[in-house]
Amino acid sequence: MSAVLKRELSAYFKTPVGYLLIGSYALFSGLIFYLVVLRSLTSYTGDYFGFWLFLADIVVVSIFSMKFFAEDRKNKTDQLLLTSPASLYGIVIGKFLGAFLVFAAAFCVNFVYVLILDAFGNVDYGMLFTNVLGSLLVAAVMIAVGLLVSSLTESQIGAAGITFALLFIPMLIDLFSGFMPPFLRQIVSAVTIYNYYGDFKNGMLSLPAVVYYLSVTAILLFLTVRFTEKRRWS
Amino acid sequence: MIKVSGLTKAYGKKIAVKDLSFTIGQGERVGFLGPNGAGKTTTMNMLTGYLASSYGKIEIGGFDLLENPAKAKQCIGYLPEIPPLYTDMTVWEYLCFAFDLKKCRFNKKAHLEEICQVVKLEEVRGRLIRNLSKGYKQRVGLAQALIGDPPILILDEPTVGLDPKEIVEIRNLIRRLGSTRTVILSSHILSEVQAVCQRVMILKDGELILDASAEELTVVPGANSRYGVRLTAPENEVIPVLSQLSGVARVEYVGSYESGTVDIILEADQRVDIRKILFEECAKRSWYILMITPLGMSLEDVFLRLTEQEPSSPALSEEKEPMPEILPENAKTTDSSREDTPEQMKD
Repeated sequence: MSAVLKRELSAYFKTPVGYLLIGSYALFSGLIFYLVVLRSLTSYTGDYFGFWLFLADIVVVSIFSMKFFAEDRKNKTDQLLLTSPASLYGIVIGKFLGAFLVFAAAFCVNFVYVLILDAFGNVDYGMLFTNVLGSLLVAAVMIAVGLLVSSLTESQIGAAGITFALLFIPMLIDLFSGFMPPFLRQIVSAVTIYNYYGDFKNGMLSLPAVVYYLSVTAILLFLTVRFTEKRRWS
Repeated sequence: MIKVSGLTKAYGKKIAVKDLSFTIGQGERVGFLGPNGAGKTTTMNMLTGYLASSYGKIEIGGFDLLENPAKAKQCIGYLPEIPPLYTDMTVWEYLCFAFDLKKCRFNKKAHLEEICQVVKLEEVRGRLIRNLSKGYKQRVGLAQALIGDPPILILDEPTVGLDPKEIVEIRNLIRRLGSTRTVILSSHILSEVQAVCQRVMILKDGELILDASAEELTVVPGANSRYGVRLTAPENEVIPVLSQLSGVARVEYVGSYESGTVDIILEADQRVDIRKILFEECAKRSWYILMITPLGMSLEDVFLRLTEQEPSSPALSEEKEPMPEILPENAKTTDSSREDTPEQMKD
């Protein structure tokens, strides 16, 4: 696992990809910070994290999904990985952690915004903590979705497009769930990953939500291993 | 060292490899031969664990590949047809990555330095892989396969796309490495397999049609008894005269590439040195032999001899021994001329 993790990190930062990802995230999040927080002349961060910042996450994760397994298959480097004595779980977790750490590096740009707010207003650090934790947990699920999609498709562009659709469409559905009949709303709220973010947004550390996000991430990683294994048999 | 029984790979209804069984002992150098779609690469991919078999059992170094994949894979160094290289890494970084991935327990620096020395990569250690020539990329792929000092090397068409100088270097390297290891090499070039391997397996449509030593392969009737000959002689007399010689099985007219000369292919019976008989006959008739080139068997010829059938696919027909290549370009040897032919029978 550590070999794959090191390789992934070096691949992101030895090529423009990592910097492009961090730059894109900084651009999107900066725009959102300006529109949602600075223009409202507020130091309340609850509106900034959540829906708007997830949009920036989706863009970044969609780019990630191009790199995972789709790129390895394109360059035939999957032959090195899959014929090595390393376990498939180790390879998948290594790739996941590599992407997550790059995402976390990009996420650090948010702390610059916190410093700005702290200089001119009062920041609720408790709320900030739960939002940061919640955002990272949602990002973990998103990256796992990208990894799973990447293990299923041959095309890098296809992987990015499908990942974007899988992450963005539920967000739209969640947004308009208020207009849906109650039973449908219940179904939507049960399946969209964004619905569990509410408690974090309001400054509450929700243990069920933490367990939910970690479980979904683990299940998606497990499915990635199984689908990659299945390719060997098909 | 390698024990395969009943190995089968099916892609839906298409059977890529059918009921393959063989055993390869320690230190053997085995060549897989076959045309496109024969199942060479699929077999290699199954042996290395990249693909799972539909049926059958593979044992590598005493470990069942399905039950104990990590141990079995540790015994194998694999160089696929396209070397699995991360081109954004330097050679040294890539080898370090492969070392870590393979969970080797050697001293990393000493082990990798030794491998770089063996495959002659010392000078390019610090260079990005993407900037290397095809030959060097192949060497990096080979170096990767050697990491962990695996007792088995599996090399899928290791000389494809290389220039003649690189082909010779890589072949010599493989021969050297094979002196202490079990080597499986796939190729569609018969001379390459003959040059490197002691044993040859020929696959056709996913089935093993021949498993013999390299020497045995050469005594397939007709092998090593064919010559390309250029002589000054009346064109209309050559075929009738030479066909009458004892020991001559067949004479084929090829053409005339110099004025007053005739090019032919002469095929003799096995165990008859036709050159002496030919020389005596030509001397008697005052014909001058300007060139005589031994022709090996093309893969197609071996196939035809083995299967006793006419070439059915265009790929096989195109591979047929190209006489003009040995005659007009008389600077080439038989081997190199065959190496330079288009890769029509690539797997």
